[in-house]
Amino acid sequence: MKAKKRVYDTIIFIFLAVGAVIMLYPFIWMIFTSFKPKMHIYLVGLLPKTWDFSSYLQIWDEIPLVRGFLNTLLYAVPPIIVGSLVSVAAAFAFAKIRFVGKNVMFMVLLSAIMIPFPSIMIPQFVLFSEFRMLNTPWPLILPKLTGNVLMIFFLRQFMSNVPDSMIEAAKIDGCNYFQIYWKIILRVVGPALAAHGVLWFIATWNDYLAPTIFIKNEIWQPVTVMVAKFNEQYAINTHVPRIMAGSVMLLVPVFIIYGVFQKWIIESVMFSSVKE
Amino acid sequence: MRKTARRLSIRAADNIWGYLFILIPLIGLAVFVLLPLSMSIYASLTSWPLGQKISAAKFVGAKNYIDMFNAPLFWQSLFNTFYYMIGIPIGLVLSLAYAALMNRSSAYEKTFRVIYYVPVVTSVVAVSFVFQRLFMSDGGMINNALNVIGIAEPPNWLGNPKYTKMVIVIMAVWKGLGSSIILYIAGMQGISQTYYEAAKIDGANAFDLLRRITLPLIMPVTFYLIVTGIIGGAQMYVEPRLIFTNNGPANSTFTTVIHLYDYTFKNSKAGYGSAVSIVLAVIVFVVTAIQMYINGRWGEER
Repeated sequence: MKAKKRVYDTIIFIFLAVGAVIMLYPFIWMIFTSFKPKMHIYLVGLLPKTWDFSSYLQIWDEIPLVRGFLNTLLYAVPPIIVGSLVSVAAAFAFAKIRFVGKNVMFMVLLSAIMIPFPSIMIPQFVLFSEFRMLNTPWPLILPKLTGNVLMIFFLRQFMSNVPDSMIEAAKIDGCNYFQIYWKIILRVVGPALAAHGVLWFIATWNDYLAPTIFIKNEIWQPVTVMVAKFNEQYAINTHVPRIMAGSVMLLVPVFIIYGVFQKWIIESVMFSSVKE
Repeated sequence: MRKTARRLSIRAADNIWGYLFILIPLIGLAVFVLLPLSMSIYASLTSWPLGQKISAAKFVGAKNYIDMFNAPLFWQSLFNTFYYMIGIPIGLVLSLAYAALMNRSSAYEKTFRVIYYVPVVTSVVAVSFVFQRLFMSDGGMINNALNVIGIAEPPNWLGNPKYTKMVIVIMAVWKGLGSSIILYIAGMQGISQTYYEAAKIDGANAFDLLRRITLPLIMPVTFYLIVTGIIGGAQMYVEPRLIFTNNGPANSTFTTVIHLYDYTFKNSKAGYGSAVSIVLAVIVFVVTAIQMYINGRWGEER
């Protein structure tokens, strides 16, 4: 019986391991290829025969990568901090404050999820153009400042686990709702907020369509758009190592952040998933 | 009497606090979603060159919609967009199988969860370029591997319109698998063990357990994945844009969003582009509305 279970476990392990290799192989291939000289790309073998760093020197030389990273941070960090604080406040109101029309307002807000970005991007482009904001950071910052509907939805669900008695006690102590929000709620939602904030950060980091529409001048482009342009240029003469070096530059920061936060992220995604 | 008055005043204050706390997201919704959406609806009824003011655009009624329904390219883009959605059932079956294998909480299974989630968080731009290279017909890793296992003439993935869509589908499944697995595991962990024990006593085998207990009880997850898959799939843009140039060989890879982007921002026909974008919004709206109707859970307290 025990032996049978061990065989069974081994088969499962092999199955999972094969899947894991498939999940990671493209990244491993990408990293090693980026270190190959151009003429070696048709050679068999995953590892470079000679290690060549010229693709990285080329990319640093050719595009203002530091500027690109700073731009991305500008679009991802301050707006997401503000947007998260706004989202927590709204989620708190929807979860714990009784006010007229609460459910209707929640449904109205939630309806935003149903409207795809491509269906509003043309007028957004026109509006930002009217306010002379095209080719500036504002189109990628302003919409985030007003919060994130999905985050509100998930945090509201999370907060329904906070006991009402805690809030009542704070009220008796003379706290108003803002003080409760600031002193209690933000602390309680901390880990869930961090995980969703990180996911939002990663989504912003990976965003491509919006920045290509709103920002045409290089100095304000996020790093993703810069690298995509670099890669497309070398796709024409199939300089594969350079293209892969570009992709590596985009992925390294995400890998680091994911590596640090992976436990929180997975747990938070599991926790806030559709419950039954 | 005094007590009632006091309670009333608290509730009035609660109203103010409540709206104060949701005010900014409501403003955001109005300014960044509802206003542009109504502009899109209006613009879709006009002949509007993008550079011009929308108020100066000529009203043409349903002309853009008629043009669109008569345009083979629009139908082709819609066909391609929906074709990509065959990745949804493939992903569901795979992720369900993997979730079942990973749902046992031993040490290495947690590591596997983290590994399978890696593609989910990575940049679709970076990954698109990697997949483009992996599927190249000369020297691409996929075809080299197919050669090794004895397929002498592997498909021309990037050039033959018969196979181009498969590249996108494979990549989409690969990239989304980890996310579906995690959601399925969460769903499975919510199922009480007593169901399984009771069924085993009644003589049910593993297949019965899956079919009679697990599948029905994780139905909400499946449903959620289908709906988010369709909503996301309807907006597919980056992958076909970067892996293939222009519309792909024989128009085989471009999507509805690429169609509306090109007409609006390259050909400057923003009225037509808006009409396409409204059709897209209607598709997404209908799918989401069906979900709300069947599930009836969003926004309701449980």
